[in-house]
Amino acid sequence: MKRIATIILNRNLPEVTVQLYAHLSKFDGDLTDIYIVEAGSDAHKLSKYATWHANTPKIMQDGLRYGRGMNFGQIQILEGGKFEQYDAFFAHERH
Amino acid sequence: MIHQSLQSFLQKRHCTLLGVGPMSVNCVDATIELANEHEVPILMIASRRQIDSEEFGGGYVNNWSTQEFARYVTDKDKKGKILLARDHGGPWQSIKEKDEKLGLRRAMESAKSSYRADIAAGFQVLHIDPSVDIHGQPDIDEVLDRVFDLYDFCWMQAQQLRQEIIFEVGTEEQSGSTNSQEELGYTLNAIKEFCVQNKIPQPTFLVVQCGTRVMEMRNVGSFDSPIRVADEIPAKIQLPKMIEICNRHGILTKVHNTDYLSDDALQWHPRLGIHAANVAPEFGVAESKALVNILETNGLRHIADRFLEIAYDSNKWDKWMLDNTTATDRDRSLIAGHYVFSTPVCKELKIEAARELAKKGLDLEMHLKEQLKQSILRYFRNFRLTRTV
Repeated sequence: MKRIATIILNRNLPEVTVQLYAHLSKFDGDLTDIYIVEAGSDAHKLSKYATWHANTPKIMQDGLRYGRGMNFGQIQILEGGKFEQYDAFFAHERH
Repeated sequence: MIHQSLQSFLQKRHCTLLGVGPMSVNCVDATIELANEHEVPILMIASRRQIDSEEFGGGYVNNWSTQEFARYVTDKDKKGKILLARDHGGPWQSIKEKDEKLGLRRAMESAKSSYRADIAAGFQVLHIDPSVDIHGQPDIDEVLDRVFDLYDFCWMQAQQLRQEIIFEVGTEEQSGSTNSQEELGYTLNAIKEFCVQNKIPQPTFLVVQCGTRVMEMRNVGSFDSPIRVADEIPAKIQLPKMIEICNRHGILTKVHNTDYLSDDALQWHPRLGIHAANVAPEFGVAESKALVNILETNGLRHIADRFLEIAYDSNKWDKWMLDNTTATDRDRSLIAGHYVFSTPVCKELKIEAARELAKKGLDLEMHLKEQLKQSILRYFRNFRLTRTV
C-alpha cells in the first residue's frame, strides 16, 4: 500500500501531463499513487491517464485553480475511501 | 444537527444569538458560566489573533493554542452550551501571514493549516472570510473563489475527521455601512450554486453589513446613528429586506461589530429578526476598566498606573483610533488593556494586585469576572436570550 498520493491538476495540456505522469511513474511509482484531475479540459484534450474529469458547466468555463483543483482531487480520494491510507499529498499543477 | 438545534432555539425564543469574543480567561469563564446558568447556546468566536494553532505561536489570549483553548472550554462547559467558533478565518488574518507578506497561494495554504487545527480541536462553526488581501483589493468574484476553495477544503477535513461543522460566510470587512441588496443576492446565489454542485451543505450564517463599526470605545457605524448617513438607506429600512433575502435562501443572518450599541439599538436585533450578533472588544475594555477601577478605589493607584503604561506602550490601541481622535492616553491604554493581560509583566502585576486586594477581603479575578458578566448580560437581556435578569 502506497503512503503518498500525487495529484496532477491539468487543463487542456495532455502531452506534458502524460510526460509528467510517465516520469513520476518511472522514478517514484513504487512510492506514490498518481491521480490526474482534468479541471475543465475539453473532451478531446484529456490526457490518457486522466483519473477524474471535473466538467460541470462552471468548471468547463472557468477551470479550477490550484486550491480548488487539489480539493477536488482529495475529495474524490476521500469519497473513494482511500484518504486514510495516505500520509502525504503531493500536488502538481499543469496549465 | 447544530444548524437545526440553533434554528429550533431561535424559533422558540424569537431571540438573537450572541457571539462573544474570548478576550481573556475571565471573559471565557464568564461566558461559559452565563451560558450554563441560563441554558443558552453562545458562540465563542475566536479570531486568529486571539487564538491560533501552535504553528502560528498561539494567540494573545492566555497564549493559548487552538487545541489548549478548545480543551479548556469543553472541560468547563458542563452543559455543552458553548459553540466553539472560528471568527474571520482566512488568508492574511494572522499577524504572521501579514508580517511575512505571504503571496496568495501561501497565505491560502496557511489559512487552511489553521482551519485544519480548528477542526481537529473540535471547533464547530467556521467563519470563512477571505476579504483581506494585503496585495490588492479583490473583486467579489475573486473573493467568492477563495471562499469556495476554503469551504470545500474545510468540509473535506471535517468529513475525514467525522466532525460536524457549520459555516459562516462573510465577504466584506467592517465598513460601517450596509450591503446593497443586489450584492447580497449575487453572493447568495453563487454560494448556493457552489453548494449544490459540490453536494456540500450551505452555510448556516451569512454576515450582513448592517451599519456597525467599532472604533475607539464606541460604535461609529450608521446603525445607531440618530441622523441619516448621506447616500445610504438607513439600516432599519435596509436590513429587513436583507434578512428577507437570507430567509428565502434558508440562511441565518449574522451581524458583526455590535459592541457599544445602545440598549435601544440592541433591542432592534430580535425585532428585526437578526439571528446572531458578535461582540468582542467591548468586553476586553470592560475588563480593563474594571481592573483599573478596583485598583484606584482601593489605594493601589501605582499598580493601575503601571498597567496603563504597559498597555499604552504595546501600541495595540493604534488600529482602533479614529483619524480625528481626541482620545486621551488613558483611553488608549484601556483600549489596549486586554492585549497585554497575558504578558509576563502584566501577570506579575495582577498577582501583586490580587495579594493586596485579598488583604481587604476582595477577590480580584472574581470581581473582574462579575463585571464582565454584567456587560454580557446586557446583551442577554436585549437579545431576549433570558427573561430572568
